This record gives sequence, C-alpha cells and structure tokens, in this order.
Amino acid sequence: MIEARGLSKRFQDKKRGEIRAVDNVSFTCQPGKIYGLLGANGAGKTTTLRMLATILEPTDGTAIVCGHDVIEQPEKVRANVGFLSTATALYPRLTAQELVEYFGRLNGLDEATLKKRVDNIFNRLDMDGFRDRRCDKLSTGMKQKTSIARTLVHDPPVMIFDEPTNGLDVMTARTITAFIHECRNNGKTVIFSTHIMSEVEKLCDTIGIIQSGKLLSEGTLAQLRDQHHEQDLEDIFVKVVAPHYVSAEAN
Amino acid sequence: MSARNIGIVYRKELTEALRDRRTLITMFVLPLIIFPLLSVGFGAMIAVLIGKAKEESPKVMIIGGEDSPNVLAGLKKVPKIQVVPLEANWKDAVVNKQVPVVVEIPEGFERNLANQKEQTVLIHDYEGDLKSEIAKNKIEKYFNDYRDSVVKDRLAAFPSASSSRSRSSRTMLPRLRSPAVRSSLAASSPTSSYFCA
Repeated sequence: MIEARGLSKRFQDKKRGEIRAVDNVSFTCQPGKIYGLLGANGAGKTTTLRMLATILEPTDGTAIVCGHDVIEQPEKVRANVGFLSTATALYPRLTAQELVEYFGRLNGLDEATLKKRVDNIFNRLDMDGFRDRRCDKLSTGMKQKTSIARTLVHDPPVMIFDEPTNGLDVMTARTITAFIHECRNNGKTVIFSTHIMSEVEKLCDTIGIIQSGKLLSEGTLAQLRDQHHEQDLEDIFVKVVAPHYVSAEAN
Repeated sequence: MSARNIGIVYRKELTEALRDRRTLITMFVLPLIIFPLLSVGFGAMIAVLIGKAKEESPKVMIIGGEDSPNVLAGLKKVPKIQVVPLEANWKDAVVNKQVPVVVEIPEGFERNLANQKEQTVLIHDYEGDLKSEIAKNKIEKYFNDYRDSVVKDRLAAFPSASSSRSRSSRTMLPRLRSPAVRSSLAASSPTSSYFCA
C-alpha cells in the first residue's frame, strides 16, 4: 500500500526563485489496484513518483510505502519498490541477463533464488532470445523488457511506473500495459503516471489529476464523470486543468 | 553500503570496463606503443644534446699556475677547451653557467711535485650541468695523464734491479692517490679534489 501524506517538494532556482514542483499532495493506493497520476508535462508527476521511490526527499510531508516511511526508512522502502521509467538507462556493456542478475544481487537475492527468478521472468516476458545480448545491441522494445525484468527481479509488492510507454511503439506499449495488468492481478500496489488518456481509461482503478504540483481532482473514472459532468476523460482533464495550466515551456 | 554490495558493484564495473574497447586500448595498447616511442625519442634527443655539448669547446679559467709553466702550457693544449682570462667573480661565472669549469692550481705545484710533496688541484664545476661535466672530465683526464707521466718518469729513473724496484714501489705507491674529483659550486658546500704525486 502507498499512502502519500501532504507530499511537497520545492526547488530553488536562481532566476525564478522558489519552485513548488509538488504541493501538498495526498492520496492512497491499495494493493491489487492501479492508481493513475494524470497530468501535463511539468505537472509534478515524476517528482511525486521519485519521492515515493526515495530518489528525492520530500521538502514537507511524507509517504508510507508498505508500512515504511520514505524519509525514515528509505532502504526498506526501496527493497519493496520496483521503479520503471522509459528514461531509465541500462548498462550498455552488460548482457540483459547480467543486468537483471546485478540488480537481483544488489537487492539481496541468493544465487539459487536469483536463477529461478531470472529464468521465470525471462520466460514470462519472452526474453530468452536475447538474454545473452549486450544492452547496447538491444532494440527499444527489448530494452524496455529488460527494464521490466530488472524492476521485477526482487518481486517487489509495490510497482511505480513513470510514463512507461512514452515514446514506445504500439506493440511494445502493449507489452507494458499487459505487464501492468499482470501486476495488479498479482495483488501488487501499482502507481502509474501518464498523460495518455486512453491508457488511464484502460488501466486505472483510481485517477488523480495533477497540475502545477497540486492534486486537483481524484476518483474512479465514473466518479470523475459524475463530478465534472463530462463523459470523455480528455474533456474532464481539460476542464480540471485549464484554470491552473501553465505550459512546461513557460515554467 | 555493505561489503557484499561493494563486491557486486566492483564486479559489474570490472566487467563493463573489460568490455569497453576504448578502456582496453587506453590501458594496454597505448602504453605498448607510446612508452617505447617516448623512450626512444628521449634517448635520441639526449644523445643529440650530449653530442653537441661534446663538440663545443668549453671555456676554462685557471687560478694560479704562474710558477708551473709546464702544467699551464699542457692545460692550454688540451683539445677542445678554451682557456679564458680569470675574472674576479669567477664563482658567479660558474654558478651562472657562463664558464663551465675553473681549475685552481696550488702555488709551487711543479716544485713541490718534484720534491714529492702531495699536491691538490681543485676543479670547480656546476654539478648536474652537462657542459660543466664534459669540461670537468677533460680537465680530469689531463691531470690523470699528467700524474701517470710523473709516476712513469719516476719509476724509469729508479734503480733498475727488479727486486729493489718492487720494494721501492711498495714504499712509493701508497703516496699515489686517486686523481681529482671536483668542487661543485652548485652544491652548498664545495668539496675539494686532489692530485697527488
């Protein structure tokens, strides 16, 4: 389970002064559910997810992940979290298998368990054909599958996906969405950020609309339709965000 | 970070490094090419510098020796040296590398030598300077040869019976010492050299 409690993150910029990237964001995400964080570029989605994954430390507020505080017990949080992003780089000179094993070992898996896990994941994600190929020789889809395998290797109960299908072709994106579904079916807590409406409609149990670091609206798709008297999620999004919208370039 | 994790990261980094062609070239191939080239290049450069220095005729100042005309004349005939008049500030001339070597011949050198008195010739040079070293070697060689000729003359003048010569030699040879070392003006305290007969 993930529970964000008044999460805030401020940055200092020489030209613009203090920037509130995330401002008092609170939400809860239950096991076996997918929470979708929907927002435009620069809305604060990635910063929120990075705080949940302990990559960034909140300026104010905190979050509890699997019963562990992200500020007080970041190592325990990390052991329970799998973080996947399209921007995540792979070590180019390691093979897909070596890379997955490397992260498995860093997460404390013993060799017997690691071998079993790696074989299982590579089989499930249909990665056996390129397990011994170096990461710099992999296609984008293969790289993304390797990233998924790395995220999964220690079998974390919480999965965080930061715009995981950004820039991917349809077939690779479908692999990712299928994988997110599978995580939910396996009882994992899943949080997912995107600005693609169709993905949110297909995947998310709960949707949070975020803009300028603030969580402006939250609920199931049906609840959002009722609240904003619109049927199309894009219309709902625009209606919620427009009064607060400042383009990422202007930011 | 635990020791186990340090080991895991180290192994990963090593694997990556050994698979990186640029790293391998930098670590193994470049040194194999560059170091021999550097050695040969420096060697050749130093050989050229030494050759040039040997070809030059270094300036030599002489202190004293007015009462030892044979030694003085011999010194002036040493090939590829240029005897120049003594200056009052000869030490500065050596330190400033204007004159590589100054030879100091003691008063009454030839007379005392004839009387079998131990004599010391000082060679003032600039230690570590190539030109000074070459000039000093030339002067040293001259005095070595001079000493040898003195010894040879004395042995020739000695009574000819071999047994008595060998006995006399034993009494005489301990008085023959090694030839000159030098006094280095580059060092803080000059050391004296000596020439004996």
